[in-house]
Amino acid sequence: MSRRILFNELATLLGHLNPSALARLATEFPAFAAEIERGPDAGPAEEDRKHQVDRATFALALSDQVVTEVRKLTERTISRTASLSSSKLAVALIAGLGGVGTLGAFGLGKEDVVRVGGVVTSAIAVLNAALDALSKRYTSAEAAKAIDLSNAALGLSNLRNELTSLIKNGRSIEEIANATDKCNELALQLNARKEQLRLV
Amino acid sequence: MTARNSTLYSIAMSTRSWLLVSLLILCLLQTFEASAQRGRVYRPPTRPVQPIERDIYRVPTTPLRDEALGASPRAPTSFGTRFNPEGSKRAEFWRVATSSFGGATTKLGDAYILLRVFEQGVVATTNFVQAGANDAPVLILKHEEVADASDMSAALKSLLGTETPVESTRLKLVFDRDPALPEFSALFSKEDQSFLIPTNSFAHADLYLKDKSLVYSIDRIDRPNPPPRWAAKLNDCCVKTGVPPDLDGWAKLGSVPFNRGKAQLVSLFSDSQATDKFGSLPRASHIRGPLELKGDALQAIEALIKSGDPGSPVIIVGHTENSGFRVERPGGEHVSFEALTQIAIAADRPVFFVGCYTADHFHSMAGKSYIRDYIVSGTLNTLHPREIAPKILEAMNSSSSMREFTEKLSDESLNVWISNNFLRSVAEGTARTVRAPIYKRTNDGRTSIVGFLFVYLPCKLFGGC
Repeated sequence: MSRRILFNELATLLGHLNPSALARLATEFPAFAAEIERGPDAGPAEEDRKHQVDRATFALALSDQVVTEVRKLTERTISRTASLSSSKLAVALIAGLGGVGTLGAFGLGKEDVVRVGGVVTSAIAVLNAALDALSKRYTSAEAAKAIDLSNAALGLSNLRNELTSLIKNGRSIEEIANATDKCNELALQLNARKEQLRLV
Repeated sequence: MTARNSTLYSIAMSTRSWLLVSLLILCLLQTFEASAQRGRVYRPPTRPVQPIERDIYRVPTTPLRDEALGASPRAPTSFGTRFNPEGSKRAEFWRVATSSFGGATTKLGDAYILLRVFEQGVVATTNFVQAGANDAPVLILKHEEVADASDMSAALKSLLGTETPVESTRLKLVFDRDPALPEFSALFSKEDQSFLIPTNSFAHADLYLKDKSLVYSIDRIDRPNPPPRWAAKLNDCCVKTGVPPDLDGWAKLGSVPFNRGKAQLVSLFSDSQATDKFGSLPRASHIRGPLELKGDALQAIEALIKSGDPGSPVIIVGHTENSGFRVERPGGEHVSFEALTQIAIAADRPVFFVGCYTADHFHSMAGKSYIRDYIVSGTLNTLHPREIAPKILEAMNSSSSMREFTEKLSDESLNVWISNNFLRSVAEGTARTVRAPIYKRTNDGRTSIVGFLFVYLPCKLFGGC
């Protein structure tokens, strides 16, 4: 009996990223609907080449959809990082203008303005530094997440291309199973970090 | 104002008093409930033999046999037809049978077939009264006739008017002596744990053994290869054992503690959804999936087992391969049951292995009676991680005894079988290891072994070594 082709982690990952996309694929490939729900061992065991290729084709469809969803998530993460930087600038400007405005509102004289202005400027500098540090940490986490997701999408895309080529060229089930395993393992790694990457 | 304050004060005082009284009542109720739980006698799904049921043994079987030779099968009377002539021994047997085990009925669903097995033969009758009849046939059969499928079918047709009783028709087997005795070996195979009587028409049976005070509830298990296994129920659902069951051992297993607060889990299932099901267990004291294993798998498991409380159990779950667990991670390893058991022995901790089976491994380990219980070949991992993981978590979190843990692993779809040999050794305090198969009903309606529960119990759990 040839090795079983697994796609459980790809299905789980797509379920996290876009449950309705998974449901659509389950409708398109009804033979695997039970396995999506109950896990990798729920399907029939002894399978001929046709069934194995069908499994790999389904894994390919899952990989395609996962790549699309991960790319979408990467784009959302990048735009979130950019908007964080501009919001930091806006907060700093508002804080500075607010400080000057407050001094004017209290009707302080020019000399007082110089003295108090020094204090306010220092406060604004502290505020800016704090904001900068916070947003750097936040944006660097977001940026790291975006890089991770981008790498995953790229990696899965390459593996998917390899798998497509193996299926089209009628290569051995062992080779197809190995390529599918790599896709599934990459999905497993992402599933294991799903909270860190905020996939759910 | 003062009057209003006084009213409010008295209302508050009275409310406080009532609250205190309610609290006291609640505490007392909880105390009574707890003591009632402790003192409650365990009731297995067997029941005591009712005095009236013993009447069946009072009807002698020998005259029946003699009478059978000249008996008229169906005699018309003014009120209908009679199978057993009035005043005959067979009429007396039918009267006693229907008063002992349940009255006559015209509904097949309420009917039972009674087989009273004695040394020289079997008396068969039923409480089902066919249309136009006043009673039911009382047949006298030889042992070899009962063991013959076509003879038995003919007998059933004679009793019920059909060869196929409905699912709820119950079989009542009354043995005049121990079924393990040689004269009964033609009717029950201890090795196959099966009645040699064709019992395919029945799903359940009540077993009466002479001089035993309990009626055993037994179920038919349609294993992949015939004949069907007959199993005695140890609880309402779904732990089973051989016939007749050792209930003392089962009761004693209830007193072997399971320290749920300090139990630790090692899951070697790679499926991330299975890992997620164990998500409520803290990562510091459990291994919820193989990706959480750092370095060498066996060393990581050993470190975990050594770090825990010596009396508390370790539960290791995963897919099996060649007498061990497969560690499902890139470059996967194999950890043998033997090595894991040695670690548990060294740490003086009870250990439970729960795994799927691989045919090769179990075929080499299984006794003859179990060989028929496996799916023939080619099926992988029929104990699904996502199916067993929630049961393990529930059993870990809520069991206070080894028996409870076993019970909570099982349900209507997954039955656990514990051998009578193990139960006997539990009763004697000598039990150390048990390999309990896990049965599952498959799509074709058959029930086959899909996994196993292996348990190692340190002797200290039985009160001394």
